[in-house]
Amino acid sequence: MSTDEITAGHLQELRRGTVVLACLVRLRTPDYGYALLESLNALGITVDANTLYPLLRRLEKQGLLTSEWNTDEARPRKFYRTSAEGEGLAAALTADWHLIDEALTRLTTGDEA
Amino acid sequence: MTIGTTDLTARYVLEASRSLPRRQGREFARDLDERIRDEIDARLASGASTPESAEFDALAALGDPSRVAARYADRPPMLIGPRWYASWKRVLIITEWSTVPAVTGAYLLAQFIEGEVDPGMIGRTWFVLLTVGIYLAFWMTVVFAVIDRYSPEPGEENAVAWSPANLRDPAIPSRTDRRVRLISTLAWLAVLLAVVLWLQFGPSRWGHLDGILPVLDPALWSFWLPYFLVLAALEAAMAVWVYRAGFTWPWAAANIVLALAWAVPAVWLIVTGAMFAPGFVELFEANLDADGQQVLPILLIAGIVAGALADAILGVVRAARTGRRESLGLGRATSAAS
Repeated sequence: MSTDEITAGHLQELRRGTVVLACLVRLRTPDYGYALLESLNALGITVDANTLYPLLRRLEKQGLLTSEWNTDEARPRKFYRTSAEGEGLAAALTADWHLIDEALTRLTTGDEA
Repeated sequence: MTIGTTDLTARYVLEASRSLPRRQGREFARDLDERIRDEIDARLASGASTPESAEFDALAALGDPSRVAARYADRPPMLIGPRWYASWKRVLIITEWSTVPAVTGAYLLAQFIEGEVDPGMIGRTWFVLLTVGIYLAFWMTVVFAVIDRYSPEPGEENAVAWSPANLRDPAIPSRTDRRVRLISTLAWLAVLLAVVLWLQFGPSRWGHLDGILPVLDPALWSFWLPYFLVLAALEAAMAVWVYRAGFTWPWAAANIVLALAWAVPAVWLIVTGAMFAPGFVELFEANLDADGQQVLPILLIAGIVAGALADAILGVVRAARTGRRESLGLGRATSAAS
């Protein structure tokens, strides 16, 4: 395994949880799978379609997202929206994200006290 | 139907939905259909594919439908997941080791008793061994695969809570244990020696006692009984060796040689009918029918072979355990402390 592959693997691992948070925040405005994928990737939160679609279903099953089929347009599309529980989780994840960031900053600056 | 999709998409969705339960299938099919159409549109918009090839390319990029379905269903494409793998492996090993030798041994014994001793016996026994082994492994795996799939509480890592009390007792023999083992082995050999000697000399030297016959053929004193007495002395030496050095590989090797040295001549003597004193055999045969006369030596031989085999295997297992402990750097320190 090359250094690049190892780096890519660890980066993927590091980003895994952040995709959930990004989805919950982004879906405060309802949207469908492909549009979400595009907008996340445009923001630099790279996520694979093979990861995102199953993730949306799982979050819906856990009650963190709600969904609705939109049939107004030419093609029916499933629109996801963050639920109240999803908002709660987003707040908890964001708080934790900041804690980790602060801890890492203290570690890198050497100010561990 | 939208431009760019043919029945290829429908076939893909159908194929992917097949492995899912019906109630999940409908929603999944709609989701997947939407995803594929969006992918096709994106390919057309970006110019990555021509209108003719867009659908094919999108489906090719999506990959094997059964894998796509497995990801949606939150069910990784594996037979037995990490939750049950350890239990499956442990139960399988225990069951195979306890059942296969027992069934194969019983089958082999049955063939000897029925007198079906021919070259085809090896093939038949091998077939029984393989069949039993594969049958067990197959059904064990099926049962665990079902448990893995349908057991509730997917979050639970272990069916039974683990505690440090579950740690296997490594049974590192203390100095006292080893001394007890040495003394009991030596005592057992002494008793054996006394019995053999008394059987030979007792009845004749201290007056002839009616009804007491030598069990072993006195003719064996010309060579075989002294040979077995030498083996007994070697067993005593082995017991001292293991007391001083513990279970080592050289000891295990010597133990195998010694087991063979006991078993092979003993079996040969029984087969040729030279083992027992003539009077003793007649005393026995008078009370047995023809079947009994045939079965008894076979059971005796089977006992000797099984005993020698168990002794040899036990020696190897003990040496392997000791070796593993020492390779981890645990052996000497722990046994010195105990």
